[in-house]
Amino acid sequence: MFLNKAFSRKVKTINIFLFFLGLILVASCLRWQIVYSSDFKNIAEGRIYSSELNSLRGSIYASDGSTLAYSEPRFDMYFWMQDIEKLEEWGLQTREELVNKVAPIIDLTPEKLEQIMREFQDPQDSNTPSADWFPVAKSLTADQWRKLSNLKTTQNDARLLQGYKFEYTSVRQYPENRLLSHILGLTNKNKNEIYGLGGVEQAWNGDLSPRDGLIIKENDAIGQAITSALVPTIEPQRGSSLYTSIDKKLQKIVEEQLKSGVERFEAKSGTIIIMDPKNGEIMAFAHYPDYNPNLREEKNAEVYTNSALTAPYEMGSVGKVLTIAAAIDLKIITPDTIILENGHEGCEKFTHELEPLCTWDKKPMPAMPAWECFMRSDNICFFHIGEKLKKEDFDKYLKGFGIGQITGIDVTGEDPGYLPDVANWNIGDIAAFSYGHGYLVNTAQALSAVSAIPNKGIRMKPHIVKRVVKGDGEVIDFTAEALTKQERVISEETAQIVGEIMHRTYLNDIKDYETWYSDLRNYKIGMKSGTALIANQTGYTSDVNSTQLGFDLSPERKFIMLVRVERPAGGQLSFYNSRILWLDTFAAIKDHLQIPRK
Amino acid sequence: MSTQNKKKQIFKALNKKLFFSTLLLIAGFFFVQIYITSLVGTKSTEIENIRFQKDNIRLENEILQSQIDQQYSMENIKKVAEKYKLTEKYVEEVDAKQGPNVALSIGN
Repeated sequence: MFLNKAFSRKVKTINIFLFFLGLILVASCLRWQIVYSSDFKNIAEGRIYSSELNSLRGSIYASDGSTLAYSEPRFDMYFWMQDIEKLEEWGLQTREELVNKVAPIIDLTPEKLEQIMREFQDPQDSNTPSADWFPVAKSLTADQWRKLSNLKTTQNDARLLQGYKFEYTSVRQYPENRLLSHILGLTNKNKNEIYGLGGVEQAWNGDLSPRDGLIIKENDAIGQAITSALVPTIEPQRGSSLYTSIDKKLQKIVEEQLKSGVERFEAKSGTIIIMDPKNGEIMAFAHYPDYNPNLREEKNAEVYTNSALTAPYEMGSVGKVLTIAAAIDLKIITPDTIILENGHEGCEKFTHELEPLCTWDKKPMPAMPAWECFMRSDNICFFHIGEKLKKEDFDKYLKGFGIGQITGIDVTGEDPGYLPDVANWNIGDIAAFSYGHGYLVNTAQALSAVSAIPNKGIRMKPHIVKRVVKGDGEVIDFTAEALTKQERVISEETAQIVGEIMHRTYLNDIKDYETWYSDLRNYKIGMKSGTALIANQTGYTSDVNSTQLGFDLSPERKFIMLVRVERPAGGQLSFYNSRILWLDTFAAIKDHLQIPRK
Repeated sequence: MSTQNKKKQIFKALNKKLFFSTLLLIAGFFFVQIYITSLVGTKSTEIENIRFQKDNIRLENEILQSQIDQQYSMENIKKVAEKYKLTEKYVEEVDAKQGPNVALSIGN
């Protein structure tokens, strides 16, 4: 009885104690969660830190693996005043030692650094609040970053100097300066994001751009990370690296030739493109005037435009390659077909409304076979060849050669050019199309159209990037891709025939007196030139665009090269400018490309 | 009476055991708590350090990659060639297509 009483009394006392304890706990919880909830929320939120982890933009390499563009890591440095003051208060380091140790590394005097700190802490403008953190140095190199990251306090040389943080940025570098500038393009920065501007940089921006990472952590009251609140870091990934088909040595030779050619012919601009016709790989692509992407010092904005791709033009008599190929492929003519039984008088009026059509020298010519018409680039002959083609057939072949459609070259800014709708063609259009006028092409289109001849009737998609290596190591190789669905624009036999006609033209275009070119006759090359007057809003001007297209006809079919000279002085024919530049460039590159002799 | 005393003694002994076990449990709880807290506290610093080191290694790796890219450029090769006075050596390549008397034809 006694036991039960004593026991129940104790239990009652404990229960009362626990009840009050619980009451206090509930009251405290209510107080913390309702009355002070916003205060605690603010404190907790203030202890959650998230920071972006940046990585570098991918590099661009030449075919030999050497560098064309890369990103150099840089660091922006910020002072964290709360930390600096706290550390000084705790006696761990002084503001003076921080300034004295940091200033020489960031190329400032301690006085100047002190001044920067004062300006941000006590701004002269009363409306500007003092800053908790502020930038003290921009774009520091990796060496400077390493030195600053390893600074120790005077008091304890095992303790790192603190109170500053870094933001990881980068600077895009083009180690070859002007080389390939129009094809590589540039980069610009917007709110710390780097994006490509023109060329491969823009066309491949999505692949080149890095994927940012994120780190989130929650600190406790003494500033240590709370383990239970750790969130896995989202790792950043470097941008993909691009391996191009550009042969750097070839590019260098071509750029030197082009610069001297443009200066020699006092032209407005010039372009040289060399492609492997078998797979569409661009081996060299030069456009002049060029610029130094590291300096960007040219004041004329036009210099930064790759007009070789963005500004379509009439390629002139180079278009005769397409006309004769279509006519031979449709078996309307053979190379030996006599086009005009009675020859012509140098000019011919074929409609009442239009001006008479003339050859370049307006000289009367006797009856000629088709191959000779081609070799002499006779416009009247070609009008009569074009006239033999049905409009729909001619249109089909021109489209098959890619006229009016982009080639899909992996460089930004390609203009599709212009080919009028076949329903609207008149006799004047057919005449113009037959000798390469009336439609517009960019230089890559002109090159791609004619590349069907050395590549047995198949046009391959021109491309610069061969391989992409992603940030995680995954490798993507790009294989050659035919441009047309039916694959063959013309038959292999037609391509062979037209190639032979173009080889005759090549031999004919090297004159006997040009002894300095005599060795070049030992190569199996096919070639065609084109000169076209440049039109403006009121009609044709006296300026010309001069184009020369030639290719290797050896079994290896090693290259096709386009040379374009825009507005050479005096508006002279291609014979006097683009032909010379083509032959000079070929002489300079033939050994490097190991072009076999006949 | 003696029975009541006996029961009282048993109760006291039980009460004593209960009291000490409770004390032991409370003390044990505190020690375990202190151990876990210190363990977690140390680990969080370690994790922080590892994260910091990992990020630094990534940065160093990217710095090295960019230095390799910088070195592997024509401009740099030129500088190296100038520094060590390297000259281009003329090499005449023997072309098998020139036939069996290739050495003679080169001599000519």
